[in-house]
Order: sequence, then structure tokens, then C-alpha cells
Amino acid sequence: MSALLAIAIKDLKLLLRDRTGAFFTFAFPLIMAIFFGMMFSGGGGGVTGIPVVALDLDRTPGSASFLKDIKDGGDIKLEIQPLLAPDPAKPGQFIEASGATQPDENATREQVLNDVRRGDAAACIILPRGFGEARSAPFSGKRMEIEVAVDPSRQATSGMLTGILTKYGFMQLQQGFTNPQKMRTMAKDSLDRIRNDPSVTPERRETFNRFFGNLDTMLDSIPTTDTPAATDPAKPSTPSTTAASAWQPITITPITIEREQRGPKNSYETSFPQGIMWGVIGCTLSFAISFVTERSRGTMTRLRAAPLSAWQILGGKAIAAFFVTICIAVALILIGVLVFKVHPRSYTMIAAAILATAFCFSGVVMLIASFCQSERAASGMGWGVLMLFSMVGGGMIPLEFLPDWIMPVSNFSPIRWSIYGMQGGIWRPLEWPDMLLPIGILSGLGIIGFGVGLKVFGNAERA
Amino acid sequence: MLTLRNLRKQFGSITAVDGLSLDVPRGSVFGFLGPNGAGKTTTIHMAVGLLTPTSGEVDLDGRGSPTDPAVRQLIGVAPQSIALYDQLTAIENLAFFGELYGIPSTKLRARCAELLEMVGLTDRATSRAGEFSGGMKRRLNLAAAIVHDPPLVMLDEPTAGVDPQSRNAILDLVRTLRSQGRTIVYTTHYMEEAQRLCDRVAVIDHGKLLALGTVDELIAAHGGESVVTIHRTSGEEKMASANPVAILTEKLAQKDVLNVRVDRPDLESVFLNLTGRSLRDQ
Repeated sequence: MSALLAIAIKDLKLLLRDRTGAFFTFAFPLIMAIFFGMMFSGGGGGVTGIPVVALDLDRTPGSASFLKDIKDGGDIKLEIQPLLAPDPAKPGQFIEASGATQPDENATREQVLNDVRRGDAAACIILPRGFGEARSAPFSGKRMEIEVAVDPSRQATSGMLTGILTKYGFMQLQQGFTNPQKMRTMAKDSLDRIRNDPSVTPERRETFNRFFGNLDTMLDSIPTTDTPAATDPAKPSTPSTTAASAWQPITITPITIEREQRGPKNSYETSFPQGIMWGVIGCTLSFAISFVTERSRGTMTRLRAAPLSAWQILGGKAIAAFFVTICIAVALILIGVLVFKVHPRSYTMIAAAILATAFCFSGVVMLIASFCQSERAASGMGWGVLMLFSMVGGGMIPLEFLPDWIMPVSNFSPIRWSIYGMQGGIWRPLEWPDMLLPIGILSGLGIIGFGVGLKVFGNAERA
Repeated sequence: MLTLRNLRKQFGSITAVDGLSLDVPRGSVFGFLGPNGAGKTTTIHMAVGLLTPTSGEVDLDGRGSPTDPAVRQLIGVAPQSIALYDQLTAIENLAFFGELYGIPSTKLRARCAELLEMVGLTDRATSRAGEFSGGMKRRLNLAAAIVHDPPLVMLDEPTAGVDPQSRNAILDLVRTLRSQGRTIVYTTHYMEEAQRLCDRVAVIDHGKLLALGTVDELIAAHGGESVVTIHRTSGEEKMASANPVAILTEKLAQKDVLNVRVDRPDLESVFLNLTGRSLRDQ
């Protein structure tokens, strides 16, 4: 046993002292995890990439122009959901409403909310009936009402979205102050509504008359030349917004929804298992190549001349590979949890998946090492085989983004099962019986790797 | 100490070792002399259990075949290539190979220090082997072979590629090992080394044992006659004789002799006479 550990400790020392090897085993996977995480979350670009879906139930020029302003502003990635209507050909299904079909507002509303529930959109904005009317007459006493549903796992999005909607709500007023004619129209519309509203008392009506008269006088004193900054919807003047902050033209009504746990809560929950697999690949190759190097450097002669059996020599190497794999996985999971908001649903399932992965790839080390007689062969075969496994197994691009025909092929990749098992511990709703499949496959591959490796090594070395 | 009986090793159609039989006496330095590709390393590998013979037997000190790990405990091997880990320090290399033989850690530390002293690397104990010169690596390679204090040490071309100074140091180390009572099996294609070190020499070529004996026995049996070269004012005269002293006595009495040279036969001559080829030309 001490010889076995001596070989394992020696290999760990060699790995840690080889800066390039250590980088590709420990640092590179973390870089890959962060890179893929950012890539799939659209991170690094502020809120610009937040996908928001909007539903215009008001269908007035005012509501349409409000959404257009937001979309053109580029603060968020806004997708406007067209109204849906029942599909006459397929009962129970919906198609985009056209002149011939009667829109189903409830179904369309449910559609946008489902987009958020499923994580396809970070939030949805619903403009109810009356929005355009309130927007065109901001002094009539009616506020613009907006319903907003935000993915509960993206609370930061909620605050940002409120700010963005308020900004565009104020924009109408801002444009009015820099365009007296437009403001006069808005004021006139507002006054007309107040005059025609029977619920307004004569005293209050008189008060509004005086207010709009003063407003008219004030508008006369404003220069009519628009400044580019004031007319640019993407750059509303902050001081105006601040000055008017006590009065809100918009009422945001939150819609509480529950996120369906169909997918990861964030992209790092997908990218960290991928990153771990990059580390595992690096570790597997490092140890396989180091094993072959032992042959070419002559140290294998010394190991075999020592009173050790073939399994002790291979086992020592495998223990080191197993240990390093676990270290990489644990380190990346910890970084993911502490820094990148990876929230494992079951640490024991992750542990089981990591152990099975480490065992499997220790076996792969033995297999590559036993078959390859030179570093070049080990490197070539290792990279070739493992890259292929990685490509079809979701190690590079998540399987969800790959074409359907890859799915059956991916079943032959141990990387697919490793990622699947780890995802089971992080976000995939697997139960223990479900976990038996990836764990069983990985353990089986590990046993095959050890068995074949031992046989080939034993036969080849003393032939 | 080591007995090879009708040892044969075949790699496909190539016969690397062809019916080799010999005994290596305990406490001696036994040399395998032959050109590159003669089968020396293959013989060593079979003798330490690294290769399974196609036929024949290896017996170590009456304990059986070295394919048994317990028997291999008795052997120390310094392979022809420098079998060290460049990223480990000198002392870590020795300690690692010692641990493979189950030496307790306290004893191992003392043993490593003793060996580093013996090979003159005490002041470089904590330097990585990769930083060493070729000669230093060779010495450390030798030290790693004896870290577990084996009675039989196999040295496969231990002076390959080193400078003359390091070569002398290694030859001195081998003598020290012999003085400690160890049996040394030494393969080389340098006949000077075999001549200086070995108590008995086996000359092998194409996997076959051509001759076996002490250096003097081999020269007497296969070296041929000494060559006496007389340089005179009138020219040079060469004469082969089994008794060069008699020739010298006769020729030196003549007045026009400027210089004389006696070329005694050596292992090179032995190899030349046995194979028709020069050992140096291989």
C-alpha cells in the first residue's frame, strides 16, 4: 500500500511542479467555465442582453410607440409578442392572430408568462387596455399601468427593469417640455377629459383650468428649438427625471410567478460541469502522457524492476488521477457556489457524480497509457478521443444547443454521463434512481478501463 | 549469485538472445561486453524479470525467477537511460525509489543521505535532477539503484554519454560497491572499462555467448600475439610474437633502433578475433 501511495504522491508532485500541466489541469477549466458561463448568459455587457418579452393588450398608437421607444433604446432585448388566436385546424393550439381570427388575450398573456416561467425570457411586460390613453394625457390623473413578471431567480433584473420603464414613462413628459406644441396637445387632451368627467367637482375643475392656463403661459416661454440630447429617446435627461421623481407617471404592477425548474437557474450551472470536464480531460491526458513518459525516460524500467505488481504501478497512477479529478471538481464547484451563484440541489448527488467521473476517467488514463507507446501517440489519441467525446457529450456546447441527431451519439460519450450526473446534483430534477444510470455507466467504463489497461500493460511489458 | 540457463528471447523473427548460459559468482564484477544490439540489455532485462524469456531459466541466489516480486527485492537496476524524475530533487528521487521497496522512512532518510555522500551530491540534495549535468545524473541514477541495499546490482551502460572525469568517478563507485561485497553485473561496449573493472567478462554478439573468462584468460585464449614495432633510422619493422620480451632483447642490441613499441592484445583484439569485426566500429 505504501508503494501505491508513494507512486500517487510522486505523480501529484510531478503534476504540480509542471507549471503548464498544472495550468491546464486547474486554471484552464475555471477559465472555460467562466467563459462559457458568460457566453451563454450574455454576461459582460450590462443589462443590454436581458431578454424581455412584451405583450401589448392595449393595441393603441400610444402603447405601440412606448414599446418601440424601449426597443429602439436598446436598454433591454425586447421581443414583442403578437396576439395569439385559436388555431381553427388544430383545436387547443394557437397561431398568430390575423384579421380572420379572433385574438385570445388570455392565451397570449399565459404564453408570455410561460416564457418567463420556463426561463426563455428574464421578464415580461404587459400593457393593459387604457395604457395609450393614459400616456397621451399624463395630467388627467390616470397613470400608465404596466404589469411586469420577472423570473424570480433574476431579482436584479426586476430593479433594472423598473428603472428602465420609469425612464421611458417620463420620456413622454420630457419630450413635451422640449416640444411645447406636443405638451399643449397633451394638456388640452387632459383638460378635455377633466371637463367631461362628471366625477370631478366644479371647484377642482376650476383649479385644473387655472393650472393648464399657467402651463400654457410657461410653454410660451420655452424655446422651440429641440436639443439633440432632449429628443434622443435613448438619452433622456437625468435631472428632469430626478426632479419629477416624486410624481410617478407609471404604475408597475408586479405579477408573481414561480419559475419552472426545467433548466439551470443561470448559465454557470451549465458551464461549471462543462469546466469540470475540461479539467478532467486535462488531468486524464496529463497522467496518460506521464505514464508513457515513464517508459521513454526509463523510470518505468525502475518501477517494474521494483517488487511491485502491474496493478500497483497502474493503481498508483490511477489514485493520483482520481485524487486530482476530485480536487478539480470540488474546487470548481466551490468557486461556482461562492462566486457564480451555482446553487446545487443535492450535494450528495454531485459527490456521487464526481466520484463516478473520477473513477471512470482514472480507468481511461489506464487505457490510453497502456495502448500508447509514445508521448505523441498518447497525446494524439488522448486529445482525439477525448475531444470527440467532449464534442458529442456536451463538453463544449451544451447538448440542448446541439442538433437532435447528436443525442443518441452522445450516449456513447462518458463526458455526457458525467455532465448529466453533475447536472443532476445541480439543477436537473433527477432522483436517486435516475442517478443510477450515469453512475452505473461511468463506473462500468472505469472498470473496463482498469481491466483492459491492466491486461494490456501486463502483457506488453513482459512480452 | 545469478544463473542463466539456455536463455533465449525472440522478438518476432529476431532472436535477441540465443541460448545464453552462464553463472555470475557472488561478490564479483561480471561484465557483458559486446557491441550495441548484441543482446546485453535484453539479457539484463530477463535477468531482472522485466522480460519473460522465450525459453530458458533465470535463477537468483537459488530463490527462483525474478518475475517473482520477492526475488526482485534482491536486485538493484540502473537502466541505460537515466531513470530519474527531472522535477523531483535528488533526495526526493532516492526517497521515492526507496519507498517502492518498503524501507521505513527514518531508515530511508539516513540511507538517502549516505548515498548522496557516496556519489558526491550531498550539496545538491535539494536541487532538482533536471538541473544536473549528465555526469551528476549518472551518479544519481546509480545511487537510486542501490537505495534498498541490494546484494546484486545490474548496471546497464552506466557511463554512456559522460565525460572522462565522471566516468572515473562512476568506475570508482563500482569498485566501492564490489568492496562492500555486492555482485555487480556490468554491461558495456567500452572494452577499457571491462578490462579495468571486471573480474570475469562474457563476450556476446548477436545474442550468443562467444567467450567467457577473466580478462587475462580471454586475452590468452583469443587475443592473439603481441605486436612489437621497431623504429629504425632505416624504417619501421613489425613482428608478432607470443614472447615479445625475447624479441625486444634481441632487437635492442642492434645500434640503429630509435624506438620500440609493444602492443599487447586486449579485449578489442579478443572481439576482433572472435567476430572478425572491431568492437569500436559498432
